[in-house]
Amino acid sequence: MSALLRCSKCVMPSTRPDTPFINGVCSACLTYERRPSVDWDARRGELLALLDRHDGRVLVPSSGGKDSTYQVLTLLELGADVTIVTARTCHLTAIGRRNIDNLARYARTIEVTPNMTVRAKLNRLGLEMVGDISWPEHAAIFSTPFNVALDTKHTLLMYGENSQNQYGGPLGSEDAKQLTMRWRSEFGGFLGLRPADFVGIEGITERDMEDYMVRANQSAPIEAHFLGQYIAWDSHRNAEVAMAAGMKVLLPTNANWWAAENLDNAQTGIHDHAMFRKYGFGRGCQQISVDVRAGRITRDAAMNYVRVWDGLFPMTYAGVERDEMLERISLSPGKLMADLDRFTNWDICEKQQPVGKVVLKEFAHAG
Amino acid sequence: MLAKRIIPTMLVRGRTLVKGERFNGWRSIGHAAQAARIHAARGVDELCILDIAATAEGRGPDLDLVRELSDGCFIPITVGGGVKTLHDIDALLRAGADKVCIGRSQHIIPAASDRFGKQAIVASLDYGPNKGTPWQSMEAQGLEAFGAGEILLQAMDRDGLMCGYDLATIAAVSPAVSIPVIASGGCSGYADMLAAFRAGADACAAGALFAFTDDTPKGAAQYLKTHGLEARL
Repeated sequence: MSALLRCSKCVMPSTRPDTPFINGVCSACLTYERRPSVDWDARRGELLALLDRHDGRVLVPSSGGKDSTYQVLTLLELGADVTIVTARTCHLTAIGRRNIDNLARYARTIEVTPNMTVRAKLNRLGLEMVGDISWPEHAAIFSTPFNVALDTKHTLLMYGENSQNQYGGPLGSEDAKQLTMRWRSEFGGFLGLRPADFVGIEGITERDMEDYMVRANQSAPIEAHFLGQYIAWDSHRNAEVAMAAGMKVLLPTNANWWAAENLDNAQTGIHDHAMFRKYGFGRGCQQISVDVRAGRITRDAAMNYVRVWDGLFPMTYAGVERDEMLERISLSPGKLMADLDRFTNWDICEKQQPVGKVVLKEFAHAG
Repeated sequence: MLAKRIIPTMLVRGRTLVKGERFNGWRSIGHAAQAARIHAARGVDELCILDIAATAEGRGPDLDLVRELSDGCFIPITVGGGVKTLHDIDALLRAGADKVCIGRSQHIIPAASDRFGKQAIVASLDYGPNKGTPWQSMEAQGLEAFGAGEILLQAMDRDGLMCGYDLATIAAVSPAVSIPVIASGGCSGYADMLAAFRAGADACAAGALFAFTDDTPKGAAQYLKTHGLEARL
């Protein structure tokens, strides 16, 4: 069966999707090691030329968080005409609201809120069908900005990091500078579930799903790029820049290692816990692995952290109680746990009795 | 006219959904239950689940996995990987499989067909680029004579590449046998399926297409119908 092996340099497990290991080292570490050989000055030149080709007009998909704030401030500094577009999260938190408003002090912001009754259905169905409560949020993040670009006649979108570069991906994918429609379908968090699949379920219509699809483009082609492929990405630097610009931080749950990430959606804790059950790593493991690569913490210390905290079930997330979050989408705790169990990888996880806590076998049977 | 079938293929290693190229370089792309539940909700014609690790790990089929994936799933499921004995087939059918795909241990097909009925036996004909189509036609005829109910015609050198089906082999094998032939390997879109059906395939299997693109089995059926083929919507 597929055993869980950990990268010998960081603490990411081999069970993370699309993370090939070479000689025991994960693709994220291999990419990180190659960073010094990248000519970042040349990349910066490419970015300036890209902005020039689009008359300096750029639309920045944003959550108001650390990376978004860094993207906006960096592009403004380069002289770009920046418009921010924010697709509404599934359950916007108070701190998330505050950070969106903070960033709006720097550039014009367009916020798009879909029908939230439909969104709640998609949260429940996403959890039930693919074990991902955040399915509609991912779909919206990779659809709404394209549709707004059409409406506002923008031809350039600037996303933040290429997640394959930062966290690992199939060999070659880490070099992608452009977010293509194929990238969107393959890596955009759809998990093989397509917007058209929801039509007809619980009264969901094709019109309802338009918020989660990219409209056919009859005008100028829209290019979407990753800023992290032109300017070396550093989450901590981004957080420092963002905090200096007024962004607020909060450790959303003890299962997270960083206090400056994923603060805007109260459902994210459930998404991350489901990820832990499916793939053997939670948000904390992913974040602390970035810090191991950067030499901010030792691998041993990171392993100790992961052993204790990774995958902890979040009873509150970013200040929102679990039951309050579930009530908003009419999901019972029992149904939540049944859905989570269905998508748990029992090859690598087990339940500890008597409380039923799900833990990795790797640690349950370690001395 | 019999409806043409569209069959999503899931390759699994344990509970991990994987995808490779040319039966190699396996990428882990998610949890097997995700794809199984999506295709069940879609009500696809049929689902093919192949365990790529069973033979390599020297074990039989993962019956727990088949039970999990078939639980609450009301579509026909074909399961393959690690099938070596009649006992394996019996156990798989009891665990929730509707058909069993036999790859390496094809000597058990006659007995399996006798005991479980040929409708439950799919013979996998995996071939590389080195053998000509006459050889594959003869092998297909042999599998039919053994008692196979269907042939999964897998072009290994096209697997995962999304470069189109091997139309020449489909056109050679399909008329050589009277049992259904499932084209597999290379599908990059609805037009490839149309071409395979026109070449003589009775069903089209696709893995990467449904994992990596916005194309869906329903979209494929609609496309085929607009081109004059019978497909179930």
